[in-house]
Amino acid sequence: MKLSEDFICRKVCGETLLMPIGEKTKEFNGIFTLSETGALLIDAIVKGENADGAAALLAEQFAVDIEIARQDTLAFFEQLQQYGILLDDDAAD
Amino acid sequence: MNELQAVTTASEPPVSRKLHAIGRRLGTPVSGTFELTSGCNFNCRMCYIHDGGAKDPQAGELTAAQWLSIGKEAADAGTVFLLLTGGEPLLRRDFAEIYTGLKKLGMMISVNTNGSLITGDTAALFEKNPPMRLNISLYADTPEGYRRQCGADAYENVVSNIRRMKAAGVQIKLNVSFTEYNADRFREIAALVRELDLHCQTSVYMYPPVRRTSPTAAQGRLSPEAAAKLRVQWDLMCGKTPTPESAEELRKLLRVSECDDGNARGEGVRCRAGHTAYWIDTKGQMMMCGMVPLPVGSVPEEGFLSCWQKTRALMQTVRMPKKCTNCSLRPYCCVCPAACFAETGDFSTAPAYLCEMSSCIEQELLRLNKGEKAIEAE
Ligand code: SF4
Repeated sequence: MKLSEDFICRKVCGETLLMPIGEKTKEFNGIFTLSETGALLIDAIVKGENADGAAALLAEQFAVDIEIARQDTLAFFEQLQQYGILLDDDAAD
Repeated sequence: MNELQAVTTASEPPVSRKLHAIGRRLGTPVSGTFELTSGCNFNCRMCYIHDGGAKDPQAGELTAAQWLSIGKEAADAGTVFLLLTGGEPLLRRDFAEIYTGLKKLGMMISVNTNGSLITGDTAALFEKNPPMRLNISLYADTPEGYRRQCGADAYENVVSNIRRMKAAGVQIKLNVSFTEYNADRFREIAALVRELDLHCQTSVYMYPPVRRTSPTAAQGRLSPEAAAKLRVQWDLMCGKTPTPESAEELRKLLRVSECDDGNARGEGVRCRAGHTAYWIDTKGQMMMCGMVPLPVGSVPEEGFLSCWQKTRALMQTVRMPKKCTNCSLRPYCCVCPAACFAETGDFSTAPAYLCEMSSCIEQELLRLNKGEKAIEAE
């Protein structure tokens, strides 16, 4: 999993923002704001974790059951993939 | 009757309001303006910055590399929303380099333009990689109107460029400023806005040309009385004229939100200037607002953060006129620190022009309330 090069992740005023850059703005001309858990998962991806690693971090930091964390993580990543924000490791940007 | 439903103001995205609210507490420069050039291909007599004649970007204006370096520092400091303005920013041959470079930093870019140069490569750029919003000035509804107001044969071109951008799905806001040169055509301009079916922001109050290098009087500005009548007429067309009752409500609200220190000093800066917003001029000088020519320092020389801290410090010293705090005309008045400074050279002196204009608005509304017909703007 990797963050698409068409998006940038920024921390501003304590908020985590995902913003399209370049031609992606044609499809989505706005800003995604992430919840605390969403921000943690994106950070994990940016640091090179895979879905399992990200879910483990989520379970640890938010004291949730690992299975629930895994389900939530996969659902979140699926959503991001639909927007083209997350790509498979071997996908070309 | 609401004749002009299409004439509305583009609302701000909720995320922008949220970031500005948090930024105000933290002192984060969430939004900024980069004034890329004072050059312009129009020669509007009422322009606050362009001196006429200077069609090309001027010597001493920052290079693309300098703007991108400032953009990087601004992004690191928390800037998300950037307005690129001029002069006419699209005159710069390196506009695309600046625009795409700033977007890559994660900036949401708006562009102020007279609309005449959105052709060729620039039009293609906006179609492929649109700004958050294009703010296009609409000066008149006829070719003759453009010649009279802007000294340019640009009407057809501007309107066709607006249509092209709209068809491409680019977000557009029309800025309409009324002056002596176009006020007589306000109904026709409104009809054009309605036909274009775009968001529109109107202004009947024109700042004195505080930024021109050769000082001139505010050319073409409406008299306070004419501006007041036009304000009421336009609001009537948009179905949003304040009633005396709603004005009273607003008065009450203003009283409870007065400055903390009661009547001892006037109000501080209520808008975003210096709280979360800044302005950088063509040479890299930071100011709290483009209408307040009090540069605090050079960003390329001193760095962004140092200039931002100075901008905040200046903002904290600003006090509005005490007279404005409890003024009964306040609900009708567009007074702000920048208007005070631009009109009087002093933040704490009430500008006579706005006092007269607000008084005329009240008179006009009272007349309307008595069932009399609003007098046509002359
Ligand atoms: S009418 Fe004059 S005194 Fe009253 S708020 Fe406006 S500028 Fe201030």
